[in-house]
Amino acid sequence: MKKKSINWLKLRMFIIACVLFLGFILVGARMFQLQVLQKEELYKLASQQQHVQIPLVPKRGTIYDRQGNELAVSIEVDSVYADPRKIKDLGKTVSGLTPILQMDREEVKRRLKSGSSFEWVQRKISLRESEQIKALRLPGIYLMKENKRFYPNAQMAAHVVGFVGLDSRGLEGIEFQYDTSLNGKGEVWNMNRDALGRGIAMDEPLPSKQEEHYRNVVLTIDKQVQYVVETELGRAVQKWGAKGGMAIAMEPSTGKILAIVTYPFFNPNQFLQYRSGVWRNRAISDAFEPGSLFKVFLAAAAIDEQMVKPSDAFYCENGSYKVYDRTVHDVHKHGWLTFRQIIKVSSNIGASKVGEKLGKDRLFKYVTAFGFGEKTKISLPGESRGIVHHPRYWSPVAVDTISFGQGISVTGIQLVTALSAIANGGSLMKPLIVERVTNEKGETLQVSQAEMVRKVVSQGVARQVAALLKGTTEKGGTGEGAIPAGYEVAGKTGTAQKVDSQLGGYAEDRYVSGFMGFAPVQDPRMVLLVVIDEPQGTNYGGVVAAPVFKAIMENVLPYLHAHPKGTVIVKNETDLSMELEQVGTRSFVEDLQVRKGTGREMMPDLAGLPMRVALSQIEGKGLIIKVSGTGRLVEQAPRAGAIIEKGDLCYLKFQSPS
Amino acid sequence: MLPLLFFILSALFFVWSRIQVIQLGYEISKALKEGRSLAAMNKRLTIEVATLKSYGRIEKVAVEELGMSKPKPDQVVVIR
Repeated sequence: MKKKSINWLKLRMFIIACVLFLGFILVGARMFQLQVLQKEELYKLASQQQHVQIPLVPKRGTIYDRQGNELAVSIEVDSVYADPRKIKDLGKTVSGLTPILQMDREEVKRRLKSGSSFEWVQRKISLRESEQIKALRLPGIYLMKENKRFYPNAQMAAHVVGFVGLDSRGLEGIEFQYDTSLNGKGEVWNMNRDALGRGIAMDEPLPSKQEEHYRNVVLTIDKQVQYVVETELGRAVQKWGAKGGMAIAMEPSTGKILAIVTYPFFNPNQFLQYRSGVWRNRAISDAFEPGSLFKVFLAAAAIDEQMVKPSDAFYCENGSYKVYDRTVHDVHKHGWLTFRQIIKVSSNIGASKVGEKLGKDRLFKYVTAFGFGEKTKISLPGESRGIVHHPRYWSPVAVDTISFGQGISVTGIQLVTALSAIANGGSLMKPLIVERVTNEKGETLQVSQAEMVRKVVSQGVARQVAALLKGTTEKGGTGEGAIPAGYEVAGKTGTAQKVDSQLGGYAEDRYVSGFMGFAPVQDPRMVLLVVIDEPQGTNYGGVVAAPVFKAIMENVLPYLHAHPKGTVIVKNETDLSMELEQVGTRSFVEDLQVRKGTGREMMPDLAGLPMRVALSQIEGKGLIIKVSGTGRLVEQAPRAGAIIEKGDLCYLKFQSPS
Repeated sequence: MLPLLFFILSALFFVWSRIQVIQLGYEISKALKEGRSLAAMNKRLTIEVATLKSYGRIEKVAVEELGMSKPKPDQVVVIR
């Protein structure tokens, strides 16, 4: 008995000890299993659950015009994707998504049924759509942030800016050319997460490397100028029922392009709705025969070589001139014309004779010097070099035809760049389209400098050519319709038959009408080329394109601080008294000279008058009026009684009586 | 007795500070999220402004709704 009872106690103790021991072994073994054997795996699992990596969508830089207006911007939008394996109720999911996304039912069904674990349903949806989808809480349907490119000005400058595809890669224009700069790198945002999935920012939340990820591109395009040029060109193309058109505006001193327009337009927000031919920036990618526009460069060559003076006379064969197997015609019959008149009335025969006198090698030298036959290296994709053959391959009549712009193909940008060289005193500039590149903070990284390619002609020669071109816009010239009110313009009309690509030779009824010029002649602010492709009814550049030039110049020049004659200029400074006195003495001398003339107007006495009355008295006399101060008039120049002429400067100083 | 009290207090303080750190972590991540969504909103509004600023629209509103017209050259006074 005794033995038994001891055994019972011992046995129980032993059993309990065994159980406890086994328990320890089990715990130990489990610990060993978790901490040693499965360590790597579990660590991975834990960090997967505790850390989230939110991939940030790569940002893309903005494209601005030179005034800082946005031309292309990126915004984050949601894209819907599905994990078809996690969808519970297919029918409900389909009928939930279809009305929101306005998609075809069958199409949605097909996508949701696919076997993969990732299927796009719809990419880049609107904010409202994504909120509606979030509210549905459909299992297996997810949203992902993506970048969408947006062009707030729609069609404006679309050919320059270009557009991007679905995957944020630039496909055309600046978007294509500057794709690598504009595109940022995708970055990842690390965050810790608790058991409920809430984010905790424990340590450095944002990527520590603060390097720049994307660049912004600022163009030389001016939205204001671009808008005016687009509106006027579009209006003219529609008016003449033309096939298309283009216009380029350039600042001649720097080569900066202020506007570049190709018609027909397209909206880059929906670029897929347009034929791909419409996307092409024809102003730089299409070469055409310039016709009479090219006589400008013939004139520059002839004068620079001192072969021909503006006053030299040529016999224009009464409108029909036979050269080898070809006959050159003029629109109007002319006998003897001076070189100045040849340019003014745009005589082909006269131009041929000047070209013959110059000779083909010299002509070719200037054609290439002005940049024809080579790319201007503007930073836009798809530039054409045009067609300029070496004189070795010229036919015997080529020197005649090239003199009036046939048998040579040039691009719009080449013409504008070359004319800018005439406008700025002989320097061929590289056309600039990008003004600067900035980083994401807006700091400038790189500024485009005006870059001279070569000096083509001397300043004196450029002046003489400008004077010849001014002639075409005077009475009886071909470009009469191109003069904006109150400005002096130098320019040239052009009408060229189009080359028939199927039959060869020239098409009978298809023309390109153009006008190019610059204003004001003395201090050119803008060089402008207008080309209308296949106008109906009439085809003369002077009728079709010159009024477009005029309308654009009238709207744009005041904006570029070149005011028409007779504008009232009010100076809002008070430290003008010095200047006033100087002007006063000078105008006294001028008075004496002017007095000889008759029928001129006298400067009224404005002393003591309030500004409004004083201005109304001298308005309409064509004076350039400069005003300072406020109150009543205390000083005026010219003095009362002085003879005044249209375009004279007039200074008025006002002071309040107190 | 005093050292024990000190030990307990400092332990409590340590725990409290850890809790604070975690709390603030939540707040920071919330604020960051909010910041991101505000930045996105800002961008969207910028674009809306840019769209509304398009010259075609402004001209249309000025001419059609407000009855404005382009000034003639002699109606212009330039202020320098």
